[in-house]
Amino acid sequence: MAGLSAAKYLSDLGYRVTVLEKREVAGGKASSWQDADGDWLESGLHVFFGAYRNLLAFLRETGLYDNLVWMPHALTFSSAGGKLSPLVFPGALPAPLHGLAAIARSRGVLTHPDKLRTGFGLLWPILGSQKYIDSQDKLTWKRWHLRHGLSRRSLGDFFDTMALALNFLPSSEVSAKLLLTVLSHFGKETDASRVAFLKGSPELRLFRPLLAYLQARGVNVRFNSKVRAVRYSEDDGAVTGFELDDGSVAKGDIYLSAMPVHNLWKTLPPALRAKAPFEGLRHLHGVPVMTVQLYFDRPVTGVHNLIFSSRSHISVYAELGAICPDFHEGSAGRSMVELVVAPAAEWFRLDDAAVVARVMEEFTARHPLAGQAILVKSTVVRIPQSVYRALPGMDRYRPNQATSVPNFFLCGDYTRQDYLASMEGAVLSGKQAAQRISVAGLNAVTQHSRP
Amino acid sequence: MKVAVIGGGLAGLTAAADLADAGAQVVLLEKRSVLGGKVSSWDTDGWPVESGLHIFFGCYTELLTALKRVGAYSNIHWKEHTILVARPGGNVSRFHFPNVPAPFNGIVAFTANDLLTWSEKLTNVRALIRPWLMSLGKVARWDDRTYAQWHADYGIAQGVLTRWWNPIALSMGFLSAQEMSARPMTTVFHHFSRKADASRIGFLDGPPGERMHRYFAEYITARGGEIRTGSRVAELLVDSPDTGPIISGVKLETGEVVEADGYVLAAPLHSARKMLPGTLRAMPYFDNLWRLKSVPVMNVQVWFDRYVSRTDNLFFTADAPFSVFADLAVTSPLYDRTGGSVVSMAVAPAQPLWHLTDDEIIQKCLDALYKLWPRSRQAAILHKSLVKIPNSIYRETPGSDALRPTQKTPIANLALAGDYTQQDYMASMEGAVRSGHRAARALLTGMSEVRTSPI
Repeated sequence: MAGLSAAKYLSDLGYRVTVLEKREVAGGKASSWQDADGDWLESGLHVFFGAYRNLLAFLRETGLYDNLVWMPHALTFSSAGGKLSPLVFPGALPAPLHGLAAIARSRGVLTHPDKLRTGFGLLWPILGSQKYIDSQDKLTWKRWHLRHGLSRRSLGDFFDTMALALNFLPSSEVSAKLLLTVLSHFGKETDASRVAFLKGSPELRLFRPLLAYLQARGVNVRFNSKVRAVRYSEDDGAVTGFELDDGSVAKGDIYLSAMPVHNLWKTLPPALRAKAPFEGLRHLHGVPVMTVQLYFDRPVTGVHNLIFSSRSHISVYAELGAICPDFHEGSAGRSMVELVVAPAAEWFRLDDAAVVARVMEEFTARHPLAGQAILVKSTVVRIPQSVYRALPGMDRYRPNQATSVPNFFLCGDYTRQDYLASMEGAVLSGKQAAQRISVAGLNAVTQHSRP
Repeated sequence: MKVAVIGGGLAGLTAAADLADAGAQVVLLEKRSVLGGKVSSWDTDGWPVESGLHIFFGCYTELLTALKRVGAYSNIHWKEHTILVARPGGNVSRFHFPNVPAPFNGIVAFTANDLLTWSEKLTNVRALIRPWLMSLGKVARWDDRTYAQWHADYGIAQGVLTRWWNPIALSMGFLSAQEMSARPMTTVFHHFSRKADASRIGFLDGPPGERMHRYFAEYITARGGEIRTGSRVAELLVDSPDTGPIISGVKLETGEVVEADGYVLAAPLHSARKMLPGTLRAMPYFDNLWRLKSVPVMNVQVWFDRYVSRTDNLFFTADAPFSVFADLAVTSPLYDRTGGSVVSMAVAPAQPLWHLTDDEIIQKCLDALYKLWPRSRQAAILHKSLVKIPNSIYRETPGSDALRPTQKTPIANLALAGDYTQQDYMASMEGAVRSGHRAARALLTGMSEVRTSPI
């Protein structure tokens, strides 16, 4: 998403762009592909929040906005024993009142004292400035939570789940900044917490039309082109090319990396690894995550929305078979539930069958009627290094899109932008990279034109 | 004035009876050899088979009035005002509605039972206050979510869903609570909490063909109407004069064309789509018919060599492939022909079992029945039957309500009838009857407009 976003905004600015992709499908962490049965496998459950201004603007600009289907304004929490507790945001109230009303009216998740304490605690992100939020990167969410008078119950039932859904990390590890950022958006923008899904697979509904859009504007996209190394000339202080796996070298005037941070690290020459800001990249790592799809012979949840699940490994999931029209049509009565397994690290050593068995156990505890349905098929996708780990203190290692090398730029969720590890963050980083490139280009022009 | 009614189900029969009353010369075209459509019955080798398990509720006011009009009302046998839920091991939970005004009878029924825990009962009764107080129009707005979602939204415990409301949803719409819209369910809550008798259950005393449709047919023929069974309609012929499109005739499969002044299309959704010319899809009104879907349904009937139950009522269950069942030999005396029980089981959801063979499906039902009624294990089976209907009632999923057409169509001399057309009783016998009434009225007013319009 970061690379394609950058490609779009660069071509808007009149640059001639070539995109190099190591796989045969576009999309990176949001990619999807078909299995032997023709069913779509996805690298994750991709949710579009109303807060994703840049991503939504990007979709509007490329004519893809109609591929989204918006859900009712509610966040649903499920817990063992089959209890569903929807947090319904009343449509008549503006932010942040709608969120506080949703918490006050919710049933099952929190007791009344918990609600009061949560309400007061949320005043911090609602009233706090970006500077305040940035300063909280030193704490984990759990410490921030308990320090600001919120209860352990709301941590376990509510915020832990959110942390897992957002960064695949539990609240005892994740930086307070991550949740504070999200909560400040939810608290300030009325529709920020509203959720949308793609009407079908990302490949058909997002990337293929997006690639067609880009190619029509002269962007050259080369698949199966894995960058092996970034060529760097210390004498010029400039990147001289991207060396591909087949030995050839891709040349350009300006180089932009939209690789995940661990892949970028592998390709960087030692000279760059020692240099700021690249040296900080060694501290940034991806989180392991698994995506499990369960195909049932009938609809099982009844919830046409995203579901968060507390105290489990299936942190967030949705019955895409009922939500996405593409998955609904011609499904012969099957209904597919897509689940994000987080924390995934402890299950990574298990084989697929064991993962599915454990997921099923937790899922049927939350949806007892799923026990009557027959599981006709299941898939597991493992990503050992997904979005960067938003641990406390990591924020200062996140590089700017413009680096110390004048013709080398970075984008990706891990680079510095306000939306952390999300599709929005990726698109925003691409947009910012395009801006930085154009500014750098202007500077270069003005420098040359000086006498 | 001559009117052709296409489809001899309850909707078509009602419309035909109304039009005959209004003095029209009615010809009713039914493709099968028996009347009744989704409520039909027939004999296979002397075994009376019914297309489903059909229940009359006290709130089916229009249906009951229509039965009084044709003289079939006394064929309904009302049962004790109790809803029974069968559980494994021969246990039965009773929801007894005492003889006090609504909603108090319901509150007693929902609290004095051993199916739910006290906290479950409390959350249930608390949530039902809303549909009780709200108007039907407001209840209809809940078509935006599934019943399972509604259930969670209003804080009812999950156990109530699995043990109680899910079987009810399955028996009403053949869809699980996770798939079914909240509207039909909350509409039922509304009716049941407003009128004491609404939730009372009645059975016809025998096969509906003999005990209900025959009365309709006689009523229609006595008023100069003609019933033509075995007349499958191939298509409706559309003529387009300057005044707008008009139906000029009905072409039967035999090639014969039946001409009339007005037409009521009371065929099920999937058949209606086949009869309408494709050119009509340009109109959004007709295009919506292609966006509505229908549900597959199965019904299993088993004849035993002895009586395995003495309970004269309907059973719901959450522990079987079927959601409702009853011993017809006890509930409907005319089915009591062989000196043994006739257990009818409505399989829902039917889709997951659809690919199995008939014997496998029946065996699955029998295995579950043996658990619910252990005594039936000792009885020998005289005969068994399975009815599969791939396209039964329309699929009551969220949002489908907005697609349902009015009975009045953009074509002046055509009206639609059937469960899927707009009326407040959704897919039920009462819904079919209401749609038939409305279609007859829509046709009569539509045609009077045509006649009085200056040409």
